[in-house]
Amino acid sequence: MTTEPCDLTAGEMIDGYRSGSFSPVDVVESCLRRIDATDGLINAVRHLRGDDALAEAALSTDRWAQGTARPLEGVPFGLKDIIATAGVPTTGGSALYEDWVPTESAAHADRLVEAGGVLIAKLETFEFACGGPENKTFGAVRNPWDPARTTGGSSSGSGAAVAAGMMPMAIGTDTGGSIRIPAAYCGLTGLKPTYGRVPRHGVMGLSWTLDHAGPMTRTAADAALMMSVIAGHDARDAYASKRPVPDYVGALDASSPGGRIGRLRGWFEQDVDPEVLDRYETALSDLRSLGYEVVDVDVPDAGIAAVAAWQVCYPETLSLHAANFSVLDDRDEMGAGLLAATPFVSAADYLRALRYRTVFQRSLGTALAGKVALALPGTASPAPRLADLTGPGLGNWLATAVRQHIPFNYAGVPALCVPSGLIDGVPASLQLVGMPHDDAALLAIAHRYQGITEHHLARPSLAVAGGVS
Amino acid sequence: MTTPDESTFRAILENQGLALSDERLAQALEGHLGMRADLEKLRAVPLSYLEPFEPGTALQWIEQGGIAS
Repeated sequence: MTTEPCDLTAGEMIDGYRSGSFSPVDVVESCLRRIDATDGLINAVRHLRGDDALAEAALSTDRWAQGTARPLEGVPFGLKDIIATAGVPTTGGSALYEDWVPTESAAHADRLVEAGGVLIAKLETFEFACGGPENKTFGAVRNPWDPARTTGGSSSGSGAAVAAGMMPMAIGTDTGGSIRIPAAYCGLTGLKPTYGRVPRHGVMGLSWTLDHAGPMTRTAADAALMMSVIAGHDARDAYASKRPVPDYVGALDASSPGGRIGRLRGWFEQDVDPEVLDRYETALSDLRSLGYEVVDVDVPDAGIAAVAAWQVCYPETLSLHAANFSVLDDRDEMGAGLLAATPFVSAADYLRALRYRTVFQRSLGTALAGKVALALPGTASPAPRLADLTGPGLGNWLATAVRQHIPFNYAGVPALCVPSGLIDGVPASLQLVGMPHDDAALLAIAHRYQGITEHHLARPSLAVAGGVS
Repeated sequence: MTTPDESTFRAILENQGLALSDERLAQALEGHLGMRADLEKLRAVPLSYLEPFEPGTALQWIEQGGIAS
């Protein structure tokens, strides 16, 4: 099988540009062919920048020739369509913003462009990052591994596009798992960074306490590359971290593997599909073979943390989306249900939940003491079928899907999903969780794991075939 | 402790100048009751009075890499 340029990782693209094996124009043309061949079925792309991306790729090709290439020079990327882009439509996945063209780009979108990245497409999303898999304005995004299944979300287009080889990297956002769930369902590496590490400026908000933006890629090495560009303080986000940005790429191989990994038992392993647990056990064995000692840990207050997260999310969502409350029934179903639940949290419960956050953080800190990471299944099940996500099935899926994720949004700690095998032809995933600002350490563990496994190399047949058969 | 019912929820809505259909209100109430047991556990957790456990304390913990000040 010949590898199409669009199937390469970002790191491989940069190596090829440097050696002169191919150019950014070759790669962008390949990505556009893949989009043309597959998006009719997958529906990952909301707005394609075909001609503009090719023009920018030509400029990147010149920069490589002139020796002035920047860190992501000529690498195509996508953005979830809740991320503002100056002069490029940004819909939020909603009919309410169908014609909106921002005049200013999100901080991290600007950083990717300034680093030489080529924005090739804005990508579909659940409406306002919460509307559910069936977007009645723009249609459902289909999983490249099995188009009858959901990609999960809310970064649905980002997950599908990277998995299908439309581009090697995309930005997703994550309020309760919206990077990690589609990364897990689509066989990708997805990092919800430490809270504040990547500025939220220019991102349509759902809950300012829980919202994060981060990379969705095929490898941990590409996620590190992306983090090295998008992380860092921005004064327009009051909660953006002022800590120096570490060398994420250099850290991938900087230390020897080893140390303890805490296996989160109890609440986090309840209601998990037996086959997911089977792939998870194998992943833990792989980590042991790398030299990590896996020990059991429990965080007994995880259930309280999850409900506390919702007590934070609801009033913040109402505050941000109050103007949409009167047209709630016109919104997509899952988002309508969420917005309908928002007015019933008292100020006392909201503030208690924000204060309890410290209690849970300390509990997580105790679980992480003496360990390099915590581990748990990336999701409770493989990607469900879209046909099953209607009526009560939709609400049940939401409750189950966020269970492995929202406690870490609430705590603000980094959490990373990596593919860990297939179940009936669709991906399973391993999740790693660390202390705040240990993002680089999680990426390094994932990179070592991907050095001894091939799950991240598996590709959906759509991408391998280069089109729809 | 009494749990809210539809009339309670309706009053909360009206107090904020908001409205929901009967179906949405019932859905919201069902969701609330589903998490009610854990909400009451949250309400029962003692929180420090003298040591500041404030919203900013959590942000400080994150910024300091998980070290309590």
